[in-house]
Amino acid sequence: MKRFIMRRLMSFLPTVFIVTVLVYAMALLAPGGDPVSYMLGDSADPELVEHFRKELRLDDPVYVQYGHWIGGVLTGDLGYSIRTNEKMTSVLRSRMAVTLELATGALVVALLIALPIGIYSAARPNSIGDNVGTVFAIAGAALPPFWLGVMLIYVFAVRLGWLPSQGFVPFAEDPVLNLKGMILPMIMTGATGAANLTRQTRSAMLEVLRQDYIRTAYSKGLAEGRVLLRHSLKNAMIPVITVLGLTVARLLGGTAITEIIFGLPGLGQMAVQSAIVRDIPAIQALLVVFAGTVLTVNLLVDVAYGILDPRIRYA
Amino acid sequence: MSIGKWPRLVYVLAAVSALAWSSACGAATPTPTATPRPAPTPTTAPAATATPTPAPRTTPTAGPAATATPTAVATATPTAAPKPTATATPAPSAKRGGALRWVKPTSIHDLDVLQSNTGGDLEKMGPIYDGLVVIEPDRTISPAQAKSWEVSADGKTVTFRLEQGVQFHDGTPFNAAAVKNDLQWKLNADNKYEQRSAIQTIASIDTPDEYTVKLNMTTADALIIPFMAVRPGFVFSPTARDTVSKTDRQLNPVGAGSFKVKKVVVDSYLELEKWDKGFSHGKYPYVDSFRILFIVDPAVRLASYRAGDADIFMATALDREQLKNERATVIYERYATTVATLFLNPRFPPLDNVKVRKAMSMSIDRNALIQGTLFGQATPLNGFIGPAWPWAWDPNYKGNGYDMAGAKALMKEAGYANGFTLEKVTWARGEERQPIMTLMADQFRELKIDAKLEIGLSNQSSRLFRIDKSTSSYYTLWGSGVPDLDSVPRDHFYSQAASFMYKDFLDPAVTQKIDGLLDQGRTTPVTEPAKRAKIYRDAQALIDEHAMAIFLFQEKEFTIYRNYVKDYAEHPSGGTSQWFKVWLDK
Repeated sequence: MKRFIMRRLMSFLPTVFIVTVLVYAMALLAPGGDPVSYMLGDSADPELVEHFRKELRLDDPVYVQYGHWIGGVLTGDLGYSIRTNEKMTSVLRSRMAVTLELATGALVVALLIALPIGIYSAARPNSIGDNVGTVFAIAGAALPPFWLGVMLIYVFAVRLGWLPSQGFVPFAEDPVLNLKGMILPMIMTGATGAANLTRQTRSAMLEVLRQDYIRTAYSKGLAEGRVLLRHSLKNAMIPVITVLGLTVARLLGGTAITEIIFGLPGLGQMAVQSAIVRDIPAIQALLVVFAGTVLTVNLLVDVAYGILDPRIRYA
Repeated sequence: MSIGKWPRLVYVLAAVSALAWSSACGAATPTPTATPRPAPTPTTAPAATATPTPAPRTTPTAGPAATATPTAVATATPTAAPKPTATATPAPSAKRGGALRWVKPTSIHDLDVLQSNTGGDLEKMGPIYDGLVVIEPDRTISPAQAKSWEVSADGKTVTFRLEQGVQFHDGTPFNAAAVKNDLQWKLNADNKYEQRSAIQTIASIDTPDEYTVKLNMTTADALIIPFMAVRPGFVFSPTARDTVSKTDRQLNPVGAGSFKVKKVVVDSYLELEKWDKGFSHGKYPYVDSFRILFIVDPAVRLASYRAGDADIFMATALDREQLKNERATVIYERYATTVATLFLNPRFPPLDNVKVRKAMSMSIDRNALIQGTLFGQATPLNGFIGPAWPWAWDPNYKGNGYDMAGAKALMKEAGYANGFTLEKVTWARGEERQPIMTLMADQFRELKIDAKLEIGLSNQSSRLFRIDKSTSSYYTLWGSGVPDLDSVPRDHFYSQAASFMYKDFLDPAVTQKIDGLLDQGRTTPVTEPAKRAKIYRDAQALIDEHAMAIFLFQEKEFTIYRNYVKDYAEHPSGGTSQWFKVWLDK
């Protein structure tokens, strides 16, 4: 298993390197060639322009610039946001917590929805339950997340008054208020991811349920639940986990809309605001974080394959 | 159980269709209709209204809620020369404590009064600084950090006597030396203070004792005292200014206002807590904390108010429509003292051609803009004088008003019958502005003008146009925060202003004449409205003759709040309201 993980890590590192090169190159692709002028405007205060040129080391050769930048990334110095003048490292730390909580919760919601429905649909193909599940899956993919978010607020906050309409309270400050404030955002983000997972789970389970050993299990008199959960699910999970890895990437991107609607101070909202004002240092820092997260999740997905199916780790 | 002989696909398609149909029909918010509504009759600022509706869940009342009491009406008549009034004592029944929650559509950009220049930031920073004086809804001036003032007979000297025992939020004493230091910093051209033109009549500042500040001016200035209620009068702690970097000051301002910054979460909220060492010596504020929530989406803003997560918010015309029957709600409406304007930069040809500028102005159907985007809640303008100043406004003024045929003829005369492309047409972010800009661009297309729209941060867009002069045009609601008419033309049409565009494009005799009129308007006492009206109308005519900007409309502004929010006094120009007086009756 250790060797398997090491092999995966060896391929992970070059990928990360290429991503950082591409992220850094984004600054060099700014119209007009000078990223500072692009960020601040053609006639910005010369003092400010000079300040940011020095910050970004734009007078050095490209490879030296990259070296300084990646050195900063590795030592935790991701520069300053031009929009807010905050140090990116501390901003990312505080905002990452919000986005991670949202993405994790959304993933849990997605799994809580997808797995039961997918398993049931596979166990009862062509039934009413199966069709309802299919409708749900298609609707979940088709409905605009924005609309869903506003509807959730309208029903649960305005009409029923059960949950707050927006805002964020840190978990450390008040866990109960934190969770209450995150439920609707998690549902909004998770529901869209659940659709795809539901279909994938159903499809994978159907494949497994057709196997001879499942028939054998039934003929031995095992209860349906035991057959489904103990004998079928694990084997069906491999393709599901693949989709899960992709879902995480989508969830991270999807948090932007959720954070804007619910007023959550997360990475997604920051990415949108930074893009609008061309805050390149902030965008670079955010891209590194997002890319790193997605790559890490995919690495974990690979490792999970090995755990689920020993045949893979020795391949 | 199996469904039967019908193909599964049919059921699935039917169900999905039903879902899609119901989601399309069950839209949460109504969209503006295209049916024209009659334009509002121009009046003085209308009274606040409220009508009973089913109680929102969060109010403590049981059964039908009482009709909310309308708030004070902002009159538009000019007042006597501002005189210090007795310091207001707190209402005896005012309750202390609680947290006030105010919803705004935009986040903070910059709370540092020495750098910031956006209206949005002005509203948020007001409670942190308070100002030497405050402007009441009826436009009289009341004391704040200055407990009294005197104006010399020739109007050239204003002496402020400051409240004693006031401290900045970092403990620095608030005294005459601090005020002098602050004003001198703002007057220093090297510091590039954007509001410098507002106070440039100040020639020197004396401090005869620790709490007296004497402003010696080059000329009598009717606006110097009202300006002490907004940014020029917001004093930043000299200790913090000299020790904290420019970038750190942005989100960590140090004023001497009734509230100090407790926490800033950019894009989420600004939390302020009460400061007992302000000018009221602990009498104000009543609330313990004041949280300003930033909610970008208008549907969510409305929902947060309805859900009881916000007490007060600045509403759009659409919000007003939806809440006009909401129970336990006060809708405060008034005309903004800002004017929706598309400023033009003659450095971008062919905007240097007066016929082209006039044609552009004449191509805009202002009524269509107002009906299509503001539910009719604005008055079209052909000049910079609007119904917020009824003493000067002429509803029949033609200026460069809508006349498409005339516009096309002018374009042909100017040699641009085939139109042109206009790059960098900018505006600050705001959800109601996008449709306005899109409609305007559509109307320009009638003249074959292809306007390239660029959205931006308000601070950035403003600076790029006004100071850097690097964009062709800039749409904004312009006014300096002081409710006097002078605040609209001065920053852009006075030749000494940093944002004056026409130095190399107008006959010097014309700019001299406009300057002379604006100087006259500023030095004529507000007790002579007829005289001032003639002066500003002449300036308006001259500005329009040279089409120095496209004036569009003056809109109504709405503030909507729960009836348990008491003593809310709306600033007459939407600047900083007197939050320190607000209390919560719940």
